[in-house]
Amino acid sequence: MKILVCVKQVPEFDPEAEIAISENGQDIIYDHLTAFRINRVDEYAVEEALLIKKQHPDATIDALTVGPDDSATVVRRAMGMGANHGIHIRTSDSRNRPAHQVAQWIAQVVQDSGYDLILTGVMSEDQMQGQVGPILAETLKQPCATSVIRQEIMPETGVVAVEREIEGGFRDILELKLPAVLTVQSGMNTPRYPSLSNVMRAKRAKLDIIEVDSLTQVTAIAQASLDYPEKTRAAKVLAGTAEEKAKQLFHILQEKAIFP
Amino acid sequence: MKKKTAVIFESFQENLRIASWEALTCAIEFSEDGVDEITLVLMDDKPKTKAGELSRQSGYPVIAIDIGNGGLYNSERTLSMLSDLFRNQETTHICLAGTTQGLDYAPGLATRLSKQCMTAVESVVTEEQNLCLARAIYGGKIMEKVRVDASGAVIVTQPGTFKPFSEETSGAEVVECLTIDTPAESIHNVKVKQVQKESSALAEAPVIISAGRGIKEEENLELVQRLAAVFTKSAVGGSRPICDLEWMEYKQQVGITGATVTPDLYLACGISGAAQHISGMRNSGFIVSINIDPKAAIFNYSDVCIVEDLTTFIPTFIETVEKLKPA
Repeated sequence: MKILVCVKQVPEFDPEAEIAISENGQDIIYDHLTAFRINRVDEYAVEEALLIKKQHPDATIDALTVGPDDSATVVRRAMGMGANHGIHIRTSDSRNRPAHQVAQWIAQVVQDSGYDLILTGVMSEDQMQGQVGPILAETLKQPCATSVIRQEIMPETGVVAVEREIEGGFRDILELKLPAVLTVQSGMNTPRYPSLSNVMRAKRAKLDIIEVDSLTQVTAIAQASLDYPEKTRAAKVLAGTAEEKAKQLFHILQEKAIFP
Repeated sequence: MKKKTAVIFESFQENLRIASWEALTCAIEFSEDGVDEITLVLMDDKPKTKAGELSRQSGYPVIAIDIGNGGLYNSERTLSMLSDLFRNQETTHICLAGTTQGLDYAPGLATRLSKQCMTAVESVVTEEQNLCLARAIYGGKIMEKVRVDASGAVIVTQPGTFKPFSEETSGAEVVECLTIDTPAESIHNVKVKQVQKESSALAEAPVIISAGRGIKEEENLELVQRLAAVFTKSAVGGSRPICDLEWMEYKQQVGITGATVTPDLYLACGISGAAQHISGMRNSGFIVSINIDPKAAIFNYSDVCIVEDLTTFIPTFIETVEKLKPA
């Protein structure tokens, strides 16, 4: 069984580091303090692949990312957790590639690789589109289930049984024919920390590197401009010491009749 | 040029989702009044009565699709039915709600129809005389405005952001019924099961104290509990990451995959303000947020913002209340 896990590198939303918009309003600028890490929900996808491998020891796991040079670290992170092999579809600079472009690149690279199962996180923390998984499935003409909270592969019938998390405490229970694409929801398992021996191996491992220039480009999405969000309410920022703020808050809540 | 816009209405257990009425509002805002055409599409296993009601209530024509399959959603069938329908109708834009179902098929539908897809759309804005769609990115710290090209788009609205459509209409009922029988070959529905009852504590509490990842340590939850105890009737909720860490039960989760709440007071402690959380609490009566990050997105949705470390501010506030509260 061959499993592919798609992981993404995202910036850490650290209050110390500034995420700003460039002067022309088109790009995001990170400052030197911005740290980058693996998208959290993608870690659940890696862990789920490792749990499948535990049950089906013949399984191999490839980890793949699309991004600039330094995003290879998230592939190595997945390998540190236990993935066997890494693939890096390397872009020149910008991190903000449209989802449909990313999905098409991945599809071009993996379409003949014979993966039985492709896993990825339900959405990225930076772009928050939730589109790469379903577009990848559509492009590869495979069935897809999003927001998956439980899965069980049944190799004898070539089916994966899944539970999708839906609204109001309900779950949608489905069976998908393999090969299939699943996007996983956070909380599905407990992602392990990379082990020292795996980290050492991942460090030395040679990744498959594919330059995006060698792939077919799709038409870019209509130009986006970026802006800081508008306030939807008064957003009154309390001033003073912590004690003064506490007093002000008390009086505000008293005015609102929340306190007697 | 005249555009044709379709709005997909989703039903769940006999009811139409409120989020679908919000998607209709988005479609209206995104259309040119009196020029563009809006049609509603209802997918259900007994669509006839509901479709009539929907048409009368909205004043728009409805295409009712009998999905059969015991009313169960199946993405393979949905994709094939809707792509056929919209190709035949030459639909320009397709609006739908970003429910777990909408988000499951919308990107695939857009791909099949060679349209762009935008999820988590929060508002329609005008930029250089062009209508644009705005959505939050980077945990709500930045808004992205996207222009939609003439070939059309699949527009997925973030639940809770547009006002549900509620205009008085007096239109005649216009309904067209279709039965599309598409067998599903690669996805088989087993059933839908309820794994968790919604928490009545959150629904009924006039005050909700909610914790996010900014509380940092599980021990700090005790502070949140103590803060809740200061109010006469209150409940404690949390963001999804807190539930994923198993610091709270999922039934306490506020947000798109958890509860949607509207208490008199929502006090957000260490919540960053990602769109998924905001959808579940933005219509609360009064919103107070405590966060160490002055640029936290939650502040844009708050009446009162307190930039403090909550591990020191909460005890200070509790002391203040004890001192100032009339005996």
